Amino acid sequence: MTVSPRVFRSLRTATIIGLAAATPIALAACEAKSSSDGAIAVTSTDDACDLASTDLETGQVNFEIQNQGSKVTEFYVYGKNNRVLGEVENIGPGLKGKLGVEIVEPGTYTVACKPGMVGSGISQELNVTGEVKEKSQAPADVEAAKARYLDYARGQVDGLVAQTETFTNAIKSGDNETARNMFGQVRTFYERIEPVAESFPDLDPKIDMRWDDTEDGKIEFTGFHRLERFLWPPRPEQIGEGGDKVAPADAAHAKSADKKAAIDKIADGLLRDVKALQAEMSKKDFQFETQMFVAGPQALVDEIAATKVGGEEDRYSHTDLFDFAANIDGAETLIAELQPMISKTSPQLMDKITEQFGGIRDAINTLREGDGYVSYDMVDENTRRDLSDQIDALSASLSQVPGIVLQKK
Amino acid sequence: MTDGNVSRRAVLGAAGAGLAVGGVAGAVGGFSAGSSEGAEATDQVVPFRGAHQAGIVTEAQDRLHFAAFDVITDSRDDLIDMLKKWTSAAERMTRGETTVENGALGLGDYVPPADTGEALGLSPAHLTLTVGFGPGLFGPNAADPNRKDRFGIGGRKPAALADLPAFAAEKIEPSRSFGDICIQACADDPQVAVHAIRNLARIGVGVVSVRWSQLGFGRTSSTTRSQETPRNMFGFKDGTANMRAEDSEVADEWVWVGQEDNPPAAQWMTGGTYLVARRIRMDIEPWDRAHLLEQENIVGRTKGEGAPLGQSNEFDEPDFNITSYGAPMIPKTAHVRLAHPSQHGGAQLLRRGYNFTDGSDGFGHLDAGLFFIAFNRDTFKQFVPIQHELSRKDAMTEYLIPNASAVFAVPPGLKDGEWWGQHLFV
Repeated sequence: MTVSPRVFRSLRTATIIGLAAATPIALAACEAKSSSDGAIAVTSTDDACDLASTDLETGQVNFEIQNQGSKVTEFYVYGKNNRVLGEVENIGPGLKGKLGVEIVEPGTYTVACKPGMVGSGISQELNVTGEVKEKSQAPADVEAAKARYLDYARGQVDGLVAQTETFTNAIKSGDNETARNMFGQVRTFYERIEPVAESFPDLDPKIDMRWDDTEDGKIEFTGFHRLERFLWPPRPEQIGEGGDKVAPADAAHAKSADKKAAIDKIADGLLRDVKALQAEMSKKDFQFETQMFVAGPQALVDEIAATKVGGEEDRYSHTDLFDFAANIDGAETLIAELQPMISKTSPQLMDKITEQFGGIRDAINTLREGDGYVSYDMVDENTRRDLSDQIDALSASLSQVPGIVLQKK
Repeated sequence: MTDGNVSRRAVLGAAGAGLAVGGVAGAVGGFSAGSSEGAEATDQVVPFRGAHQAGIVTEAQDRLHFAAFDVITDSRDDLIDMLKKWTSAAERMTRGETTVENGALGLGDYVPPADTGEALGLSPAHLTLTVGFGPGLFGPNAADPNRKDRFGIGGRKPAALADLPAFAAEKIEPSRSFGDICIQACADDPQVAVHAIRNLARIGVGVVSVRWSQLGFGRTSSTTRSQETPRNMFGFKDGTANMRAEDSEVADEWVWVGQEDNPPAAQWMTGGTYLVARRIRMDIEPWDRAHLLEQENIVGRTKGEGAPLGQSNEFDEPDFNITSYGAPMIPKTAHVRLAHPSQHGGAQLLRRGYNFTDGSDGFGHLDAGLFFIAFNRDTFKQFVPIQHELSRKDAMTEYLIPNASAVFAVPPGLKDGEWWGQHLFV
């Protein structure tokens, strides 16, 4: 699977969030009383998956999986349409694993042990009774804010599709000048909604992968940055070590592979992929994890800290400041939705966040040029350092947001 | 679950229960203040409060993490608020606790832990945290000549706080020199020292930004008589003639700032000292190719015993008049001769440096040397003239490349309830 570093990061976030639900038990594992926390004992062997009980009630359900088999195993809980509600992997022979899942509706659920971690595993049905419960982690106002945010995200993806169509048409018709002029602007639509786009682990890499994700060309280099490389062919002085430089293998690949015919195919592929993203996001039952929503502002800002401040993101075109500004747009939009909840608990934090956004906005605005931004390679070290300091400080404030809007008091 | 289950103090409490009777070892000078619960009174905790800051005449620990910060805000309130938070976190960490109560594990699932946690389960390891203020905090300085007096303290700048002059044969890199505030973290365990700096940097986000930092190992000075003289990266004993903590009269004369040293506006420095930090890269590979006699002539001491040339024991007084075949036994250009107090009107420094190795450079040469730290009462009467003499004449200079430089005013120690910088800002 193609996993760009940032996709990997967001997936990791998702995993951590998945675990967060189980945190109380996971921590309890260090204590001797762990067995008395009401967890359902699961015994996984090479050919069986035995549960101490398969009748349970709605609410928080904890499992303790003992692997008595000879293979590494994993344990899954499935809800409707086979959607994974929770899973724990890599439980070695003789070891225990813990999983906590919130089951809010009564009904029939499925669990499975997967000795050897392959195939569909050995499944069992769970019979859940009791009343319908509200998901405890996300208060209703957070869910409502998320729904409003999704409208915004869908609007952005519509803009993305329209702009990408013009952009790829320009490339295919040989009008590279137009394509170059609109490159920074097209990406803005994508960068604003990155937390949503990243919840598509197949599409996001295809659309936004960088050379670094291709294992030196073994994986096909597609998407915006491949077209960027074609539009700004690497010059000798850009080749070298370091994040904002073009690796020698990358430059060599550009020379041999960035021919018009191949690039036209990449352009077609990009348009196809952004349309697929649009289609997925417009589905009524489109799922976007609430935890990713509340962690979204910080995720966007950390994107800047990770790859944009160093000039790594748009290393061929140096249009990084467009992405930078778009990430800030997206983070501000998310925060605007969460603002009432933050202000209610911590008006001071909200004031600080507002002030910090303002400071960064001012700093970016000093780098405007025409209807865009100056080339990032013209931004000196001190200015980059100053931006980085401001981003770090904003990120530290935003890291307090999930606790405020989700934490049970 | 709180951090209590795995706290460093709890570990100690078990290990040190029988030792507590002996009282607090390592307390140097002044009143012992601060809360002292039974479990803390082990020989692993250096008292945080006292007449002078810990980490100066404290018996030198083996590990260092030194960090210099730029203050990136103009808000005096924000800076003061951070210094208060720093003080509280620092005092807790020196006791082996997390930065705030339950900071590592007990604050809830959706909050980034306030303490990063890598010191959980470790002993306090004699951690000391020493704060200093650089010239840039008061206005114009080497890093920023146009700097304004952002915090209204320009008039309180102590007389002897100024950037160092240029010395011969140095290649100062501004990106790892200077700074508005420094923290010296020393401990027996590198993880404890790194944890402390990392967490203070984190608390300071938005107010300060780490300008540079340096890890050190293998203390290269003895600061008490009980310690053996360690060796530097040249393989020689270093700091044989260093002043010792027991020499309190010497320290009063050469380390601690006196009332008479400053006008009334800078009396906040009385009982403080000045810290000079220099990253001195050693030209390791050429040195290793110098024959033993040459090495000994450059240093002025024997490599094995550390005795001055012409003598037999390490602590024998060097005799600069002894000759052999008409030439001085200790050459005119020997380090020990040029650095000796007798050459500088008796001027002394309290050295507290560390060896460092930061990997290798692009030529396969070790990027290693001495991270020199010295404390003195007046840098321009002590360190600067000595360094001018050494940089011009010392034969060792050929093998040294000083490439970072910084100076800080280190205020005196804290009384109960006081915070770092209180007497400067209030």
